Amino acid sequence: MDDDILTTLKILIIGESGVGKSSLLLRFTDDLFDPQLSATIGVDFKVKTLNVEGNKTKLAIWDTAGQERFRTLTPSYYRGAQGAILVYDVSSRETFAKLDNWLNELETFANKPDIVKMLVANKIDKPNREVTKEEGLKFARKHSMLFIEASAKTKEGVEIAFEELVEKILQTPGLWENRSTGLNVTNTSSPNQNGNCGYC
Amino acid sequence: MSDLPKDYDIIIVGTGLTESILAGALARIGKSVLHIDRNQFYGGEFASHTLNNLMEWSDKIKRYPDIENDREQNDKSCFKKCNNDLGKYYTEIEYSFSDLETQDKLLKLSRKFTLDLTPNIFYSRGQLIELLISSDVAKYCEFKMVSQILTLDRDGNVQKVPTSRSEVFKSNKLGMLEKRSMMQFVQAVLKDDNFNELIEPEQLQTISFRQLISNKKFPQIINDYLINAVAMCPNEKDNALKGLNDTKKFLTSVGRFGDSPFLYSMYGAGELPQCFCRMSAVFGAIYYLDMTIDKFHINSENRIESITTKNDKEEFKFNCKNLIIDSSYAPIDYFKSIDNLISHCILITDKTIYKNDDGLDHISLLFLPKMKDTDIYMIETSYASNCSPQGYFVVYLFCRNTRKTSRENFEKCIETFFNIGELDENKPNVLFSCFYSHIDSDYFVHELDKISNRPNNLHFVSGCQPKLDFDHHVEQAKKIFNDICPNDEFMPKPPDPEDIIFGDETENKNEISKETNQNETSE
Repeated sequence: MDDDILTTLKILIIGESGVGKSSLLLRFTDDLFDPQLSATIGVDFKVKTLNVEGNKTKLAIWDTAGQERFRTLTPSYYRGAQGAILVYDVSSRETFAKLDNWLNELETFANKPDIVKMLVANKIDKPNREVTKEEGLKFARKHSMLFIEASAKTKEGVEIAFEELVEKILQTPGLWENRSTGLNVTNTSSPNQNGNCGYC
Repeated sequence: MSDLPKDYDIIIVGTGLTESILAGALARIGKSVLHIDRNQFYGGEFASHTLNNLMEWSDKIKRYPDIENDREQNDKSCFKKCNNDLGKYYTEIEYSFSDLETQDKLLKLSRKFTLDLTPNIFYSRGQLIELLISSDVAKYCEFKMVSQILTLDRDGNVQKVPTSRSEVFKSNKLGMLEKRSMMQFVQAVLKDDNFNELIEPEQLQTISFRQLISNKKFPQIINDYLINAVAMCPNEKDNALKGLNDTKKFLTSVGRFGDSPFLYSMYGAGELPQCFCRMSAVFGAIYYLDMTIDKFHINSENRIESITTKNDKEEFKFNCKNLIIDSSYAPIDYFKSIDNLISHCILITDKTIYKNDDGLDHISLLFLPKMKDTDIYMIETSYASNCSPQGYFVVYLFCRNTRKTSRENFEKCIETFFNIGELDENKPNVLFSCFYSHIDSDYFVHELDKISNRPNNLHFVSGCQPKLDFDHHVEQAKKIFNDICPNDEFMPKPPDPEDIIFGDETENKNEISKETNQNETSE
């Protein structure tokens, strides 16, 4: 069924609590927006297939499950990720100031050295902006990140953020071709489903 | 921290494996859970460290005060001060590098090493793997086959044990008759649960497995394979039933995911607690690291009502209906001197202990019965599991302590396999070694549970045991879960991730498209 899928990519969304990580995710995967969406509970990851320049790519986009709140994301959350979306809220300077910490964390735990990073300035629909576009752009350049301004509420910039990220990942040699050689244990991954023993 | 809720169904202290499984199981059924750990990292006794972090960890423990220093007697008061002195839990820690040049070289590669404080491997049909599959937590982790089961033959040479039918028939160590008698035994073990073809029912618990095998008059090499590498039941106290059950577990695990019965966790065993914590967080548990329990408060009905936590800056009080704590945080006045110790050794080496002709990196298990007077488990990991840089190997040894120091338990074993003192270029060189022991917390928890005025909503959890697989921890988690929630199912498979995005159902979410969800494995 997945024969025409070029590759599966793991994408992370990180940033301070309340900047709209789950909202961006949900807007992208399901084109939904819920202004009442409270602190993240029950969000694990979402899967969406994206067509980038004729290449069908399956994205597994991982949300923080609320573990960003007290900076307790597990190192295993970062493992194997080819792309990371760092989010801040343009109406909160504090969330912008904390980006350095998130970059550090990414640097410490992400095990693919050339992981592609996209900085998303969210909530540009809000009137009380505290961080200008120029500041965001400057920060992104300094840390070699892609940059886009977006609003999960109005949809602006959301789709293109993911598309550009994926495009960049596919252009980075060695980042996605060498699939992890680990074994996933499931009931169906058995090479020997009928017998219960390799000796028989 | 001030915006944290104050009331919880369950507070869990320590992010070791049993605690993390419990956090997942309890959050899964909707209990409110606060999960904390005194360390900045997940896993506690089960953590995996980089080389630098392992050194920091041991330096920190060595700095803890002496056992008697801060003993506070508070039996009569309504609160109990909890232990945060890891020096009471770990003893005899030491580490060293072979030389300064090697030290510089290894420290530059520090982050490429994943060193497990509690290394282990898992039967493909053991309880941990079954739980990962049935709970869907398996989606957070990856494994590698333990591709070489090794044994030390009577001449002191390392041999690879054939683990599948095809390997048995390909083996050039076994003659045709030996192959047949081994296969006959294997088939008899698998035939039924009472092992009728092999033994009279009344003998199952009265004779040892060793005796049973020797009664079969197999050639010596088959005896050794079966006792030391398959059942791993070499002692007189291992009865025939235990040996046959362990043999069966080994045999039925072969072929589930590959030719070997065992799996090793990619990036080390420290991944496993994190996977259960991730599931727990997805179901709403709150995580706070670098925050320890200072004391708990007991009400007039002898129940724990609240706990006080602290870190460098703050103190907080939380209310709970049940408290689950790792035994290393047990109240200070519950700590007694415990003689039962479990010893560990971590080595970084430059060669594998068994060079396979295929040129690939492997993960190996070698069981060493009666090395001096204890049974030692040896696990060698490599670049194959992303636990070391290419060209380096990590060797773990663990056993029940029978000597004065951690190091003494392993000295003979290290001399046997590694290039120590004399120059034998075929043997691996030890570049780094670390030794430590900790109390047998299973024994300790057994003692703790006997304390008569222990609050009945306090649950102690123990750490690792010197044996293969983590069945013990799954069983312990199930037992505590049943004590707290006797009527609930333990970790049922969660719904499709697409269905659990929102906690509230006020909006009609049925329209959410399912077509993009190809991630789930169907049963």
